[in-house]
Amino acid sequence: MKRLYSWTVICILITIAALPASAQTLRLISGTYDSVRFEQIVLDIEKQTPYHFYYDHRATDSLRVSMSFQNSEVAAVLGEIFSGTDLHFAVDGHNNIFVTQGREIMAALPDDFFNQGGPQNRIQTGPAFDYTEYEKREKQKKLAESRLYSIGPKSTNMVGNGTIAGSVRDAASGEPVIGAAVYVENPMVGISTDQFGYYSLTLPKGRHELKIKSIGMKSTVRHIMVYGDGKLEIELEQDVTPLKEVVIESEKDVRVTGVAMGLEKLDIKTMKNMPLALGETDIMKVVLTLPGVQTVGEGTVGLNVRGGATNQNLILFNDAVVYNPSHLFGFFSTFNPDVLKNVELYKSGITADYGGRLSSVLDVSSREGNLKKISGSGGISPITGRLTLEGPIIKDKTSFLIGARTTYSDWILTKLDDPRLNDSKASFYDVNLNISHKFGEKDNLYLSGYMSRDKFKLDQDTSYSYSDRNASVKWKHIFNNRLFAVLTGGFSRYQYAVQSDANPVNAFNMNFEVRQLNGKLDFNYFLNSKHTISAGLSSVRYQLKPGNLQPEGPESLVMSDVLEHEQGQESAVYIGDNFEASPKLSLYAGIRYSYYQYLGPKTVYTYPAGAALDASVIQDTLHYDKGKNIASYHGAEPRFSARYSLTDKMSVKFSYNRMRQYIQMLSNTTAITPTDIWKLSDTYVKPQIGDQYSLGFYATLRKSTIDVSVEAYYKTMENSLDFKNGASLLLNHHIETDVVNAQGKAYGAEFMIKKAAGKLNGWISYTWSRTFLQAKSDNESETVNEGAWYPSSYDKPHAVNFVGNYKFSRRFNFSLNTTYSTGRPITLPLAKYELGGSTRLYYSDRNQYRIPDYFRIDVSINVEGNHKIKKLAHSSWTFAVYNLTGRRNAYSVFFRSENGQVNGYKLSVFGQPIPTITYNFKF
Amino acid sequence: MRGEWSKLLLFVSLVCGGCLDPYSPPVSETDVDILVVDGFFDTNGGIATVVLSKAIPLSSTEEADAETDATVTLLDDAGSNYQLHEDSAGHYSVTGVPVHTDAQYRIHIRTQAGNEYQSSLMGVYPTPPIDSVGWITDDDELTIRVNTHDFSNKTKYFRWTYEETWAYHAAVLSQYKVVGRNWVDRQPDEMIFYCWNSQPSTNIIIGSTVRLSENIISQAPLAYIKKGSQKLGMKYSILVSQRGLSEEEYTYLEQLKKTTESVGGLFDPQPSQVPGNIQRLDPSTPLAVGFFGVGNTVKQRIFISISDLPDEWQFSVPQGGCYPPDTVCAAPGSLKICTMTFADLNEGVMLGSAIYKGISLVGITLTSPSCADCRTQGGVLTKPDFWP
Repeated sequence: MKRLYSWTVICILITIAALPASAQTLRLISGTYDSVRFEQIVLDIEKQTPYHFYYDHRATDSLRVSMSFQNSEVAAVLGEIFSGTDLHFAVDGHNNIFVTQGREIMAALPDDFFNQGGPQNRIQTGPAFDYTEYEKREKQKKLAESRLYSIGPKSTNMVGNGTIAGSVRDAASGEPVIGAAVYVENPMVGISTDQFGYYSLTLPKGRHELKIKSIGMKSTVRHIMVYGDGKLEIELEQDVTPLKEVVIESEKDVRVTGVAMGLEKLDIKTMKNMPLALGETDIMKVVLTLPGVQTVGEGTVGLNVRGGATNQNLILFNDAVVYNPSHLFGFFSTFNPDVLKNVELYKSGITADYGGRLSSVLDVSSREGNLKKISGSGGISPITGRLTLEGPIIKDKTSFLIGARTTYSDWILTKLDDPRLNDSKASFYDVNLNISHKFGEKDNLYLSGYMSRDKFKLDQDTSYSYSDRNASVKWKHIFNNRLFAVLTGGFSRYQYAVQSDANPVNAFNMNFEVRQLNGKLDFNYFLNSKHTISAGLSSVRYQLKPGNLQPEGPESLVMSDVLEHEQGQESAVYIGDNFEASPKLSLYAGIRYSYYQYLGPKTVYTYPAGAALDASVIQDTLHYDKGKNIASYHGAEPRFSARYSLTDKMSVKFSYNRMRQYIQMLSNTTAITPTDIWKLSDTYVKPQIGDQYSLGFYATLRKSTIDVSVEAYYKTMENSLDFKNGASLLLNHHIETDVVNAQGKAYGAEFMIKKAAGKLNGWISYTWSRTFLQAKSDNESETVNEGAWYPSSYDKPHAVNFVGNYKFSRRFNFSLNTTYSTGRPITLPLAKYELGGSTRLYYSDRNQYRIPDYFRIDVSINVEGNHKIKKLAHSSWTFAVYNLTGRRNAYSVFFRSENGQVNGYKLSVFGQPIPTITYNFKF
Repeated sequence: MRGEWSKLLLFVSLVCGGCLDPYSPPVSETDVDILVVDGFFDTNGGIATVVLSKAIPLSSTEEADAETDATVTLLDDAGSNYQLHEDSAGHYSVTGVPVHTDAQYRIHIRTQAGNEYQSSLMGVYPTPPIDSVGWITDDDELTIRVNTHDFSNKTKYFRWTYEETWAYHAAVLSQYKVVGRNWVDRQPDEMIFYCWNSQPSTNIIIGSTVRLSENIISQAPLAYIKKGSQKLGMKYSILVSQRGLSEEEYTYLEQLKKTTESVGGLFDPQPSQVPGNIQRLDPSTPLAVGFFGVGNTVKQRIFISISDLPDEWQFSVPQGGCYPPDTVCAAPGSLKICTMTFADLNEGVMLGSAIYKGISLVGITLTSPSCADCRTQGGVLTKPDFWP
């Protein structure tokens, strides 16, 4: 097939001295045939006419001809012979007839082939040029790669720089490619495309070879001649067999040369190859395999990044803040894998455009939808089902993407034997909707909406439900090659409710809600080849309904109890500059200034100065009117990063950043629960302030296939909240009396070796990290562990992760994931005593002991369907086993006095191997 | 509401194939020196009782030591004080203390070693009467519930304790006993068939009405009895004691309950020390835990007979391995199978009932103490005074 194709191409080249297509004259033949071979007819035609045939015997050897004709045209005869077969023919001006299988060829060039316009025009293919789609693309790609594009108006003044800008898109779907590396190697100047696929590079005038690389896409080059400022749109093709280069190809240049550190980018394709716990790709679980990221327990979604608390992560989904990233008690994350595009986790070196949380930014972006054709995907796993549809509304201008996911766990529960489980309910659903629209060359609009709801009820008693809703609108405007701006508006709402109607007298309904409305305006200015400046301003309005207890039903005696709503406004301005000081040294310096106000209407209690805050010593009650400033905090948040290249394969980086957080979660449980409450900073609860210093060393080895990195960090946290012993946080009218002000410190080192390409790829990482808190006060009740530093609940000194992929063939892929970490700290009983006829426990100081270490191995096998490019639906099967060794990892240990005896228990959630089968499809 | 989460966790682990294993902590502190104080001043009769003991290491299998020879004093805010006397090891009491409902009381303890402790001053919280004690059954469990109210709003916090008593019988009736080498009829006062057993509550049961518009406790669950329990085999009785609490004592008990009855799940609050209201006067002396409360107790008793229960609950106590009985033959060959004959009898043999052939006694069933003596199951033969 391939040979025939190249052969015909050679033929075309031979006949390139084209004659007019009309030169073909009438040649007539006659004959009668009864199932003769095609070769016979060829011989006859060549005898009767001057035509000469070129064909592949293998293509025609099954053809038998039974027909008779008298003075017929050769073309008509061949047309009849080939009708109903996949054979085609073409005749050129030299009486050559080319017989091809599967595709038609053009034996002459189009009329205007040599009269094409300037370089901005694409090559127009003639109407008869009917290659298959694939060949067309290959052709175009070759043309695009071999062409020289001139950037800017031609001139002879070749002194100075020119800025080239444009976007990188997926050739098949028209979607922007985020995080693609666009760079030239000499001088080393590069950038990765932003969330819109946009890039802008300032290069010295002259000829350059611009390289473009991205995960899962075929790398390409563009030869450019820079005369001045200009545009260059780049289309990348999907790597049809993405498994070949599963992991992060673009990273291999960026990791060493980029200024960002502590940044992990993951593409959905990478994530889809990892073993799954419950039959579904879960980005939060993938993120957990990265060094420096911990979780308190299996099946919980909260992340602890470099010793930070679970509420100190800014989780953004298309720029809207996500308050609860979990479904179904944390066994699923709220992100539907089918709509996701990529995930970026900033552990350090956070740039000035992000703010509001202390320890990390997890920026999740979804795809925008296919601009060219309607397509869909979905999957069925033992617990969930999901379906995603996408496509153009207006081709190449407007696209939509809608994804939905739900469980059928309710149905499963009714099928189980245990009657307690039959009465239980647990379900969730989520829906994503994205619309993007191109107004023209310069304006793009993006709409994104998300809605989820969880509901569960156990054993006919209390039912819980929670829902997350968020929406964002983004308008991007390109002023010119060097300047663009993005205006973003977002809305997030998180709500939960607890309901009980078991006893009509005590039936109640309790609600909590946090909502935020935010707007921001960001500018990006590519000043010159050395400076890229970003600046912007933002404002967030918080509204909190911290608790609302209402009676349920007419018989209920429950007294309604409504906690006063809270309001806050957080505004910030920032500016940052990416400065390429020299080819070896590049710097980023930024500053963010945030201003926060806690606003009325609200009642505030006052306490005597110096005394422990306690409800019994409330001195006075102050009422603030609507909009009145109750407390305000503000401060600068400097951010700085630097990269120094030791060689072109080795670099060192340093970063410092300060973050301020004005809303925090209060929890006296170890893991995030849906019923945790959020609290705005107020007169007593001060904003958290965090500083992080980090230093890293990066190298690539063996032709850039192996990345080695070491990062070390030191972090301090002020005004972290911890709770007093026995605190009650729900429906508390003076929550300040139940929390203590703590300060935290964390430090550690992360070692990682990553092999990005090849049949075997993956990474291995080791993290050593510690994190401590200290609550010290003159008042004993506000002191924890006598004011000494104590490990926080997520302090896990040693962690080792291994993620490996081995590709047996294009269709079979084997993955292995191994995790080890030290057990988390807990408070254990030291002594027991008799009281009131029962044994009670006397506990140690907080977090002085640990649960047993954690170890787990998961494996999975992905089986792709056949690799025909054109077929109705592409499907794949995933067979996975979670916790292969069945180790009973302790989720928690606890002690209970039961019938007067103290019994210790160790609870493991996935105490045995969990096999799953998932079917995924794409059309 | 938090407690629900631990239930939830268990549920999840059930679904997901998790498991609960026994766990013994690696901690083995042997050097524990903590004074445990359990004090109550009953304003009904002016009786103050204080129990002093010592905490023991978690791994210890021994009983907790009593704190003996301490000097325990009850003081009121007017300056009067009353010395408590040690009735038995670690149990101190005094009766007849005059009660003023608007007074506040505290205790002072001086241990044998000279360490001094003192409780906070506690006011008097009168307890409203119990409205009713009732019970309901569902598929497999009987729940005892209590109702009360206090429209005077003197207290909104309640604690309940209870003592369960139930009658039961052995699996096999022993009509005869062996004296020397001869069998004789058991006299009525020698019967070992019927027994009574009792058991106090061990869990902390508390309730509060602060979130309710009226000070009414409705159907608060106290005790649960599984279907098929021996307790419901004949007749069951429960004596419920109710006491009104101060907010301070309620909070203390709630924390004690939280940290010892339901902790350790990821969604449960983290456990912590629960010191109570006993302070040491010198910070260098060993810690004290426990509480001194003031108030009075009201009680109510109910009975549940087997005939009150739903039909499907009326069953006999499982007979675990007691049938068919062996036999003691009157003479060799008087029955087809003989384990022994009358001639072999000794006082270690437990006899059941007589076997007749026509009118002649040919043997007596042979059984074991665990089948015929109800006391082997923990009860006593003496009928309690309150039993009808």
